[in-house]
Amino acid sequence: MVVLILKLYVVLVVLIMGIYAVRHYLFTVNRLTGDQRLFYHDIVDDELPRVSVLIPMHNEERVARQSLESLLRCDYPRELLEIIPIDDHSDDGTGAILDEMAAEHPVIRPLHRHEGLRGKPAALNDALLVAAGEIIICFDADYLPGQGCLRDLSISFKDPEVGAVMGRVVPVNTRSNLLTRLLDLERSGGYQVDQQARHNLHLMPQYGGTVGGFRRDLALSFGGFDPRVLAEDTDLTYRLYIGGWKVAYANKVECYEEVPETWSVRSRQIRRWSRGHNYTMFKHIGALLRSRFLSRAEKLDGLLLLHIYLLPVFLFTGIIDSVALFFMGEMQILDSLLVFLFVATYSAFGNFAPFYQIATASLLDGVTHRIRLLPFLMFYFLLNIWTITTGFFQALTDRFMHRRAGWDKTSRFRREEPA
Amino acid sequence: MSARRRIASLLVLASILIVAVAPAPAEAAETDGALTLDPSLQEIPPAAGGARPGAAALLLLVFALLIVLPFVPGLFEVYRPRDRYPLPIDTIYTKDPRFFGISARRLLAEALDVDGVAPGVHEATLSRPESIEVRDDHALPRGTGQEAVLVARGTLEIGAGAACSREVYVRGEAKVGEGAELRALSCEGDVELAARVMLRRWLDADGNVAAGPDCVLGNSVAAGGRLTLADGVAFSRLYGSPVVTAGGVPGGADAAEVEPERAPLYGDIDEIRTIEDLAHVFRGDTTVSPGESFRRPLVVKGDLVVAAGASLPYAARVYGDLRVERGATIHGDAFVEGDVYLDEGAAVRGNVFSQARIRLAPGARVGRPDARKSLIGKTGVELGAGVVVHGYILTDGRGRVSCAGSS
Repeated sequence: MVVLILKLYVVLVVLIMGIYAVRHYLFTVNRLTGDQRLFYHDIVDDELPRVSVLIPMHNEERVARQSLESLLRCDYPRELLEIIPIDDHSDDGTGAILDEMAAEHPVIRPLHRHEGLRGKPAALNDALLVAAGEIIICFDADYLPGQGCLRDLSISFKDPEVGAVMGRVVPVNTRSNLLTRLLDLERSGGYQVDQQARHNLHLMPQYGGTVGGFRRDLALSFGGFDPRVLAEDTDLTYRLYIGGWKVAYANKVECYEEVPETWSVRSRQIRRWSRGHNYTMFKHIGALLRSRFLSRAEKLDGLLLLHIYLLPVFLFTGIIDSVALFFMGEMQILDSLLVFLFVATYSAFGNFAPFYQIATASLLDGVTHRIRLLPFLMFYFLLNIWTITTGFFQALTDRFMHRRAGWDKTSRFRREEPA
Repeated sequence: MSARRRIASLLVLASILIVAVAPAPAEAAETDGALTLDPSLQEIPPAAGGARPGAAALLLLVFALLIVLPFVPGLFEVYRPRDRYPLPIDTIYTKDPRFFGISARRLLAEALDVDGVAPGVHEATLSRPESIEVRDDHALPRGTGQEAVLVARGTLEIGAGAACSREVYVRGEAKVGEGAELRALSCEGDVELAARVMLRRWLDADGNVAAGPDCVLGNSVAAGGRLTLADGVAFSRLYGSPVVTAGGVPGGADAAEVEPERAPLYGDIDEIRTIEDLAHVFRGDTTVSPGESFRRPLVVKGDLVVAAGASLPYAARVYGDLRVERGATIHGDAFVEGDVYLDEGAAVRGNVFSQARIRLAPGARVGRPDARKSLIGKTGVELGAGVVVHGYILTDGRGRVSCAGSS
């Protein structure tokens, strides 16, 4: 009986991996040959919404000034703009920098938080209560938005069905080391192919919590952000889709970010994402399937996206399972030519699906030499398998033990301005 | 040590390590009962002279090389990077329909003191080293070619069939003769294009622009004033205050210019749970009839018809096609996945954004005189006679004025 269960689990894992491989190919082929939908940033309109830009900052003295200076260079009409940097329990010079810049620029209205919960969801909740804009645009503290970024993001809310919008994140510190270059490749695949393909195919592009925005009234009507959730962006994405709104993806609205430069920082970041995303999965899976506003394709895509941080867990446990079966001498799982062909095909093509996606993204970006680094992503994926799996079990504990997750801030590495 | 040598040394070292560490197949079979050689392989007789251990080592070496091989190009990229910089982002980009003209004028002003130099040919660097011919009032004779960048400090007249292969800057007014070819034209006054003028790239004018029949308007034409298009004009991007097509605007009262009385948007909402609290959601095809009133935007999963004389006070999001019939008006924006048809005298006072084609029948209107709006049709835009668009028009497909075919 145990052997049978172990064998069935291996088959299940292979099937799941196959489904995700098909998904990768579908998106890649769409970006290479499919119909590409226009985004709204080409719209010229004199009537823009009032916008509040929120930037949560916890001990961000290394990056705070530069980020605010970038925002001050934006071409958005000043009478329709307020910038709210949130000093979230900082004990370095962040608060002083914000006050100093606010004294020079009335459009900057800092919010100092030294009581209550620390963390992005709680900080955003406090800021939502004081924000005057009907549209909220969020940036992380290390982001450097371009001059047209605010206009290009906010224009999408002219569409009454758009509840949130997401721009493209581009790593700025690619020159630092191999890890930053691998993260650059991963980001390219995720945005240039994955998000844009989902936009093209009327599926579920995701709001990513930064270089993006949402309608203030909607967030408030949802009761703000759940402070128990480490992935407040995914949480909002699903609440919007389940309620009938859409997330627009703006591939041409690009913004530099700083990615982790050490494997330990990256591990902590991805573990936090896994923990938050998987918590969201437990929270929304039922409502997603029941939603009367979503098409079947949207539900399927939403389901696959919701389980994306469960995939490494399946893979990890699947590997352990197959090793156990090997030592038990039970590797003869399914004796059929069809199964053999499926497994052989997956081995030949499926395993490489994410690599094709990333290579295609680099091709579309017009930067092809970096594709030579693709095989090194194998090491990165191995790291992900472990950290995401531990994050999943943390989420499991959070969910069923009603434990509140602590916020772990990503370290900054900034030494230079982007070229 | 050079990068190549370091990589080569690494490869050799890795291969040696793998060969040294890996157990021979026979040993593996002895130490691990689960690991056995394929019976068919076991039947292979040893090569003459006892070469089997050597063959195994060779196999392992090949195996090690195959493992390492995919990483070789990457190692070159790590040690001698050719592509390590961040993806370029144009951080100073902002959406401006007059971008081409403004940036070209700035380039010229930085390269040459146009007012300070004597008429004649000067060398300067714009985006690359160029010969710049500076004139006051100037006329380019019929059928001639202009190779240098041309700057006219007064007016400019380009004769029929003349060709300017570089940019043209004009301080005063510009007249371009029939069948002339232009690469790009920046003008501080009005511009008049005769019939069949071929514009390769862009045209920007502070004043009015009038394009004659069958002109081809390149990538972009932008006017600070009125942009008038005759029948048969082909275009990609247009900008004007407003853009109008020949045939005149039909007379009579214009419903589109009248702001409707409407309840404040979302004024009656206490709680938002789903999109249905903020919009009227229709799951199939829908027709809006005269007299129907809506207090919120519309989301229509099928086709939407705004019937003749009807009025929609807020925006519409349509998954199928949108038809605004004769004299009907949408007072908000229209976001449409399918085709858009505005019949005679129909109007959309907001933006019209379609992922497919847009066709405006005679007298149709988009936008308002007091606020620039956009008409964007991904695969094509067709404008009938007497059409008025206040602001910007864009298509990635075929843009054409078709007055004769309009009904």
